[in-house]
Amino acid sequence: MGADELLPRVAQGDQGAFEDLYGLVSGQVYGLVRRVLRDPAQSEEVAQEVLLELWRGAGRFDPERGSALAWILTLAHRRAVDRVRAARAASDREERVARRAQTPAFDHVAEEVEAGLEREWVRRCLDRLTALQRQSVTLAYYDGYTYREVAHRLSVPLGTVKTRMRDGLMRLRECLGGGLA
Amino acid sequence: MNLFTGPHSLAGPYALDALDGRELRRFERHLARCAPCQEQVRALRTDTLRLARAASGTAPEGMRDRVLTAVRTLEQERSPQRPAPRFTLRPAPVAAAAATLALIAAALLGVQLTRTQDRLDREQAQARAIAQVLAAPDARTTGERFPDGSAVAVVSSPGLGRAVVTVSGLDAPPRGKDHQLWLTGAGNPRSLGLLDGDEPLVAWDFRGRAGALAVTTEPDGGSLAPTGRPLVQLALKSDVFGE
Ligand SMILES: [Zn+2]
Repeated sequence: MGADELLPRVAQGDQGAFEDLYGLVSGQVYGLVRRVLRDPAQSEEVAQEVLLELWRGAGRFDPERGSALAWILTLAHRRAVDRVRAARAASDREERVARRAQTPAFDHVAEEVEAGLEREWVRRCLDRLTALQRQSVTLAYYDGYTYREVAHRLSVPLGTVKTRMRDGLMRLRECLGGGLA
Repeated sequence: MNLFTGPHSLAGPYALDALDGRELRRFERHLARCAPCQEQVRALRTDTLRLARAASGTAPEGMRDRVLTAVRTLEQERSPQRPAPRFTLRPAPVAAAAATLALIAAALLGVQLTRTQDRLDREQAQARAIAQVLAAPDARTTGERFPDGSAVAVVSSPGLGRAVVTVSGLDAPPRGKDHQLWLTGAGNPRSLGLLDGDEPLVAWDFRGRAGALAVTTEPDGGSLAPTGRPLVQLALKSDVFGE
């Protein structure tokens, strides 16, 4: 059974369905959170928070508005981004920014993350974006920066970043079109 | 419609979760009544989903047990319509690992984490003992919610020989009586202390093999051995004691 069938059962309080759902999505939830947060302990904490929120709030899932996996990973991404922004606001921002600026965005946790086919496709397609498109997309999505912070870090106007995010994603879609669904 | 200026231009940042604060709220209001933006966002979200899936990893070993245990007692939202009260994690008063366990404990106990943390902040000695158990590297959780609405949750550290036990959902004992918590197993039941409402109780000498926790009603001040029938009972597997 896929996530789309399991999630409505979870909403009915079916613990067995939740167990199956955990098996399906926990790696994806944790991997995504870890990608944004980097720190394993914090990532585990946020991933657990997300998984418990899935249990509690499964009834909020509306199949009309997209797939269960999309809903789950959107939730996970937002929680991770909330956390990384809170942490960033609280800690030594400049030092962190400087440290991250020297590291290519895609290599941080490479050894920890399973190298799937999908991952390869995405990496290859990201490489085919312009540098500005790629940085705009990855700084926002994988590093949790707001588009204003991205513009500041890349020293480009806000309007440019907005459009690079949008056309970067669209170009990614063209490239990925022939890949995995 | 110009996609490059004005509110329509924020579909890309929005799909990447790159908006925050007032700007995010303003765009969400716009999105609710702008069909072209809804279409844009829906399409862009399929792209970000690809980015998400490319980051897939392997969840840590212990996470599964903790989450599935918590789910056994964690109530679901009643109304699917209303947005959830968010599970906000405030900066942890203890170590990060403890915050994780505090979350699980809070889930098990059915209380908001913030309440637990306020309590941790307020009641110093008790708080330190609880925090120590939660922060123990070998801490483990178990618990159950019963059909009558009562629940028992345990976070134990075999290394420390201590556990934090919370019993909630019991009616208050009659006047002149107390609820007393017992550890049963091999030998006579051992008192772990008197319960004070649903406050967590620190069991200082929590050792044994498999057994059970039980709550009975006893005369004011407690008894040396249980005299009443158990109100709730939670079977404990030996791994609670690290065996
Ligand atoms: Zn619009």
